[in-house]
Amino acid sequence: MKERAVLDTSFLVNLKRLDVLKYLCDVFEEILISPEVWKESFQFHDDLEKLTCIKKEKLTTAERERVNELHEEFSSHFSGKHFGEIEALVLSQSRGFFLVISDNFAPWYIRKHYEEYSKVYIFRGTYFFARLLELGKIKKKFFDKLIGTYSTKDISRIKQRYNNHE
Amino acid sequence: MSNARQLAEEYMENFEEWEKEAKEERLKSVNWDLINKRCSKKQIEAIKLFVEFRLYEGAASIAGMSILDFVNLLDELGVSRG
Repeated sequence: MKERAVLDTSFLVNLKRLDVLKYLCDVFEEILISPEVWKESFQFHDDLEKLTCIKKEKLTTAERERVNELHEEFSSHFSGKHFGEIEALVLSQSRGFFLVISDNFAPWYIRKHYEEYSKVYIFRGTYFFARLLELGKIKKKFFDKLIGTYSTKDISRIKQRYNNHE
Repeated sequence: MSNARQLAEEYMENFEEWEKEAKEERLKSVNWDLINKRCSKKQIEAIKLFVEFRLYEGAASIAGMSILDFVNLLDELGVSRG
């Protein structure tokens, strides 16, 4: 069954580098991309625009206010800007718990510290690659290409789980 | 439940422990001599944040780079993003 997801830029960048953006609609039925994530993905808009399951989503005033509040709090602990990741999490929660796919620490931190986000499902990008294997889009040896992008232990865990796959 | 979903849910349950393992791998992968030679002050500050917390967007914004270019830089420097 295909799922609905909100993606953040960290995950999209990793897919771009591994040349697998084209498989996004094989795994997800509907994908929401927030304004900041769209902006941050400017180097591969052409790839994303080909994908019919992607929807560029604007934030409501209430969602924008919540993003700003969370960003103020988060950036008091961690330097730099984090709007894309926070937008993804806020969209997921307010639009009916789409999965968040992120390779970034920020959404996990917020999920842990704020009750309203504690029920949001956040998956690492490794979920997407495991689904691609299940769908027959990649072979098990593709996981060797994930070294550097994901930890060797994460990659081993997937390989072990799919021992009987090619 | 698919194996993929099961594994992803296990990741959520074990996030702190598995993230600790990944951080150790990131720390081991860093060659500070190479980074100090090749990178600007801002990029070094960004790499430190990334290695510590895996904050892609935060680190790229400090480095003044796009996230894609920042990840390409980490890759060239042999820094694990796990």
